[in-house]
Formats: sequence, C-alpha cells, structure tokens
Amino acid sequence: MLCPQCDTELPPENRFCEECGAASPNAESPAPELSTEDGCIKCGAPVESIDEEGYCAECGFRRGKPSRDHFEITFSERFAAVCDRGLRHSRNEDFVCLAQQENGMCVMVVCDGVSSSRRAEEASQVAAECACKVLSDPAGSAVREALDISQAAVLSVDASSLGGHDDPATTMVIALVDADGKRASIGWVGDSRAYWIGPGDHRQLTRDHSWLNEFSGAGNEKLNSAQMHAITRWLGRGAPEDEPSIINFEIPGPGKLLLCTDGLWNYAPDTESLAALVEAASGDAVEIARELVTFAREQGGVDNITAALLEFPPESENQIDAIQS
Amino acid sequence: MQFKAEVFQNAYLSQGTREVHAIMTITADDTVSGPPGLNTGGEKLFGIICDTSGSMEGAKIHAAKQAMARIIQLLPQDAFFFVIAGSDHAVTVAPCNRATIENKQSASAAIRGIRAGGGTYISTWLSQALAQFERMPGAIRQGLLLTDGQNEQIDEPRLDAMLGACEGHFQCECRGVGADWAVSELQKISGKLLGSTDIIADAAAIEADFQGILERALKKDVTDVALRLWTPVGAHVLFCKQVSPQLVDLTGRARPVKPQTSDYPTGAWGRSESRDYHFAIEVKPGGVGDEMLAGRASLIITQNQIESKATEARILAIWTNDDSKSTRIERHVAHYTGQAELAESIHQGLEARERGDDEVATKLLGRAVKLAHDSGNEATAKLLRTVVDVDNAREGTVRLKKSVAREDAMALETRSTKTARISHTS
Repeated sequence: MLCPQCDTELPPENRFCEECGAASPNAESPAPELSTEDGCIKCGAPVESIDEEGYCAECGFRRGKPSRDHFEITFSERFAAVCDRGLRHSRNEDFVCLAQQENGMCVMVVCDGVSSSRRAEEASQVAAECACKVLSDPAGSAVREALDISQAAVLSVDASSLGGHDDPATTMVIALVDADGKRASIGWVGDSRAYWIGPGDHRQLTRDHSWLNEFSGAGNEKLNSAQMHAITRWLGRGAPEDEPSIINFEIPGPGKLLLCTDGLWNYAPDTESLAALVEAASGDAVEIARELVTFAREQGGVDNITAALLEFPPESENQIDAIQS
Repeated sequence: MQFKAEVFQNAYLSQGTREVHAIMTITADDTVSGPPGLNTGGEKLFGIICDTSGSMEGAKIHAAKQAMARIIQLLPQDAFFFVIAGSDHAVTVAPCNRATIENKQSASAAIRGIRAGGGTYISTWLSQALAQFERMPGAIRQGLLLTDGQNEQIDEPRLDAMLGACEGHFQCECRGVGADWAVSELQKISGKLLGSTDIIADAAAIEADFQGILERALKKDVTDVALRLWTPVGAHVLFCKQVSPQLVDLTGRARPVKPQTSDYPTGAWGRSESRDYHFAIEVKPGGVGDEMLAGRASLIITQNQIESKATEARILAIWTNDDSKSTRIERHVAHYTGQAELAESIHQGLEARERGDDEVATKLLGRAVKLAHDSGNEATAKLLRTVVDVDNAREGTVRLKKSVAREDAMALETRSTKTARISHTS
C-alpha cells in the first residue's frame, strides 16, 4: 500500500506514514469519544451501573469514577482549575487541588498519575490532596516538606492485591504563592509543568525530569519519542532519592501562573504557542482553564488534561483583596 | 469476632487470556468485636451418631462406647447433645438435651446398654439425626458419625436423598474405624455435610479422635456462613475450592442467589480460624490496558434469616502486552495449584495401584512425592512413605512397596487433602 499523500510505501502495521506523517488508511478507527454522562464503555450499561470504585456492575470493566471525569475548582475569578479525562483514556488519572490560607497565601498542586502504574488515579489524588493539606496549614510548611510527605502518601496507596510490580506513581508540580503576590516557591517531580505568562514575558519555570533533559547528547538519537519523554522522577515506590527540584520565582508583575499536565502542553510544546493560547482566552480564570482543556480535546485529547491558573492583576489593585474577592 | 479477607493474585493477563486465578485468605479474628448484631458464641448442639451394626461387635463397640461416654463428660454444661445408635434403623439413645450433670448421667447409662447387631442403613441414622438437629435450628450444629463398614447397597438411593435433605441443616465429621469401610462413601457424606473424613485404624484411638472433634466443635462461634461470589456478565466460574487447611472442591455446591451471584456454603467458623480459597474464573477478555472486576467475593452470615456481609475482596484482571508482568504466576496461586495436583496424583496413583497398573501408580505417586517434598508438606510426605519406597524425593523417583497395609493406603487417601499452608510473608 502507498501513502495517500506522498506515495511512499506503507507497511500495513504502520498507522502513520514515516515520510510525511499522514495517517495511514489502515489506521484503526480511533476509540469512541467519551462523555461524563456515559455509563460503561464496554457493555453500554447506564452510568448508574458504575459502582463507587468505577467498576461496571454488569460486565466488570473498569471505567473509573464518573465524578472524576471532569471537575472544576473555582476559588475566585482569578484562581481556578479544570481537570479532564480527555477523549481517549477511560479514566482520568490527573488530579488538581487549590487552596488559600487565611493570610492569603495560595497553594496550587497538579498531579499526573503514571498510567503504566497501578491505581494511578488514586496515587495522583492522594498526593495532590496531601500536598495541598500540608501547604494549607497556617503554621507554614515548605514546598520541600510537602513533596516529602506526598511521597510517603503515595507509598501508602495499596495496590498489592493486584500483583505485579508497578506500584502507584505520580508526577507533581506545586506552586506556593506568597500572600503579597511577590514570590512563588515552585517544586516538581516529573513532567507536569509551571509557566509564567506575563505581558511580553513567557517562561517555562520547570524543567521536566525526562530522558530528553537528563541524558541529552550522545546515544539519544537511538531513543524513540516515547522513550525520550519517559519521566525519570516521580512520587511513589522506587522514586530516585535526588533532591527535589525547587525554585523561587519573583513574580515580575501582572500576569498568569499556569500549572498543567502533559495532556495540555503536548499540544503546545513550545512556551510561545501555549502563551498565545492563554492570552487569546478571555474571561475568568476558570474560563481560561476550560478553554485550554477544550483546545487539548480538540487536538485529539489523547491524554488526561489539567490546567490550574492564578492570575496576578496589575499593580494598582490590592493583591490580597483581589484574590480573596 | 471480625472477618478479614485478603486476595493474592497476579491480575495481569496477556492479550486474549480469559482465565483469572486468585487465592483469598479469610481469617476470623476474635480479638476484634464484629459488626453490631452479629451473634457469636451462641448455643452449641453436638450430635453423636454411632454405628452399632453387627460388625462393630467386640473391641470396636467397646471402644466407641467408652469414647462416647468420655466426650459427654467433657461437654460444657451450657452445650446440648444427643446420641444415636445406628444399625438397620436408628435408635435415639439420648435425645437432644442440655449437658447437665443429670442428663450426662442418664445418657452414659443408656450408652452402657448399647449392644451391637444388625446391618448398616446410614440413611435412617441421618434421618434421626436431622430430626434432633432441627430442634435447635439457631444453634451451631455439629455431628460426628462413626462407622466401620459400608452402607447396605439397597440403602444407597435413600442415603443420597437423605444427604440432600440434611445439607445445610447440620455439619458432620465422619470417621471410619478399622479398614472395612469405603473412603469414597464417607467422603460423600462428609463432603455434603461440610466435614472431613478420616480413618481410625485402631479402635483404641477413637477416644482421642472424638475429643479432638469435640474441641474443634466447641471453638466454633458463627454458623451458617457462605462465600458469595459475584462475577461479571459472560463470566464462568471454572472452580471454587477451599485449599487450606484442606482441599474441598466447592464448585458443585454453588447455590445461585441471583444472576451473576452464587453462594458456596462454608459451614461454621471458629475463633482465630483461617482458610484459603482458590477461585478460577473465565471472563470475556479485554483489550490491552483494560481493567476488569473479574469477581467480588464476600462472606455472608445468615442469622435469623437476616444476611449480613462480614468481609469482601476483589478479584481483578488487567490486560497488558508486557510479558514480564503477565507470565509471572503469583506464589500463593502456584503453591495451591501444586497442592491440588498433589492430592489428585495421590488419588489417581492409589486407584492405579488398586487396579494393578504399577507403571502409572509409580509415576503418579512419584510425582506426589516430589510435590510434597517441594512444597514442604511433611505430613503428606510421611504418609506417602507408607505406600512407596522413596529413592529420591527431589526427583520423585519411587518404588511401590510390595505389601501395603490397607489402613495405610486409606490413611493416605483420606489425609492427602490436607494442604501445607503458605506463609503470607516471604
């Protein structure tokens, strides 16, 4: 068979043409799109048949908790997050938590459960909730401590009854923003990212823990794209005991702090294209986050998608009041 | 008392695989109080059914009478008991009564009056026992049947019907004294009535054996317990076996409760008792990455016609294209699969030996020796050595013994279902 676009010979097992990247006519039809109201994907049982753990009471297949498929958190018009299953995965293994301390400090935590691990959606939720709780404590905990405690929390997720060795694991990116909105402490493991998007000032603040970054150079040309993007750090059993990556970021002025998972940034891999999306979006923080998720879904939505956004208004406004409004 | 369930399995299956295996350990923990309303340590009724047919004449009836009198003395005063003497028909030597000093005395006097004579019509004995047990339907109901011979041929159809009537109404331990009884026949009875069968080769050992049965019966705390298994639409239970402390195939005992759900009776449970079950379920295969609930097993206790769920565990299936995950056999599953093969090799090996097929018998009993050796089942290894001379246990090379006492072969057959327990930590 020949490629319909460039006439290169296409091996039947290829889903894409290696020359021009066009989809092969052989490519299996993509999985059906899912919506939150859908019941069992396998047997068509209604959503009421899905039990609390996400199993279908008819055919037994695991669909995941419908309540996790899509959820939004709106703290204020400047502080919100959207977490979505996407179109192709049967479960949403991302998780996001937001919190604000009484003194006005803001906490953002985004996690992406490692989908090759067991109970990935539990790992991401447990980790995010744990980190958020630790950082919301008015006594004041550091990002470093939150990462350590979350690591212990992921270890407590029991997947032993499943057999196998792939213990629950998740990525994590945390932002702890000072009450006066001048500084953010950002910590991460894995490839969930933080971005700063200000007027004419677009930066990726985190650096992925991936093969691509950590072993760039000789020998890497043999790795395929999936291997390049494999993460080298995570929370969970067997996690490398390296010092966590933590940076202190001086908020330069008005702009937006964005935390997201690869389900979003894979569709806008360079900072400029992602920033363009954010700047083109309008409305409250939750509306912008929703637009980013919609964009990723429109691009194919092959992975779970999470976007958490904290907006810093122009100097003239009182930071704390704005956030608390 | 509280029940805990734990599942051991490798949930990962290669693409297209349909068979899911899991071991479930259920433990009764009496250090923790159970759910409110769960009635434990209720009334206990102990029924003795003793063969008094003509063949029991002499040392056997003498020892049996002594043993019965002895265990009646041992009964706590708050327990209940009855005694039935069986031959052509059943005689209620002592009807169902509380184990007071007076009732014990009159029962002992009646036991002294027992004389051997007549045939073996076990259906009539069980019928009488059922009537006694039905007087106390809420009690923990444990029977003990002792016989030395085979049931009369003519009574077989009635015995089968009577077993059906007794099933679920009481549990019964079966003991054969001497070597003239049929293992398969007593196993049929004990199987239906959720008990075990064992040989008492020497009549002098009856008393000690009876005491052991009584002790275990008095430890039972909760009765009418069933294992409830839910399976997904399109799934099929290949088997459900108790694999520890003893192998019991429960597959045929499934009682459908509703579509996709069946109950397997497990009888009464004692304090600190722990049992293992092996489930094999055939499911509709999923695609790579799919996860399925292949079974949900729970323990159901029925008291005063009210069901309560004591514990629950899930059996899962996850399809993967990673062979390193799917090809690994979980060690509990591997261990008990081996123990089942051990019992089966002994059963078939003894059958082959019986019909004179020495070649097959040597091969199967050799395999059994190897399996017993590998799994550390010392008790079974020792019993095997009464039937074969072992050249090399590790290799399973054996020679059939020229002459084997019938009692030894029977002991091997009845006790080969006892499995070695696997430690949960290693």
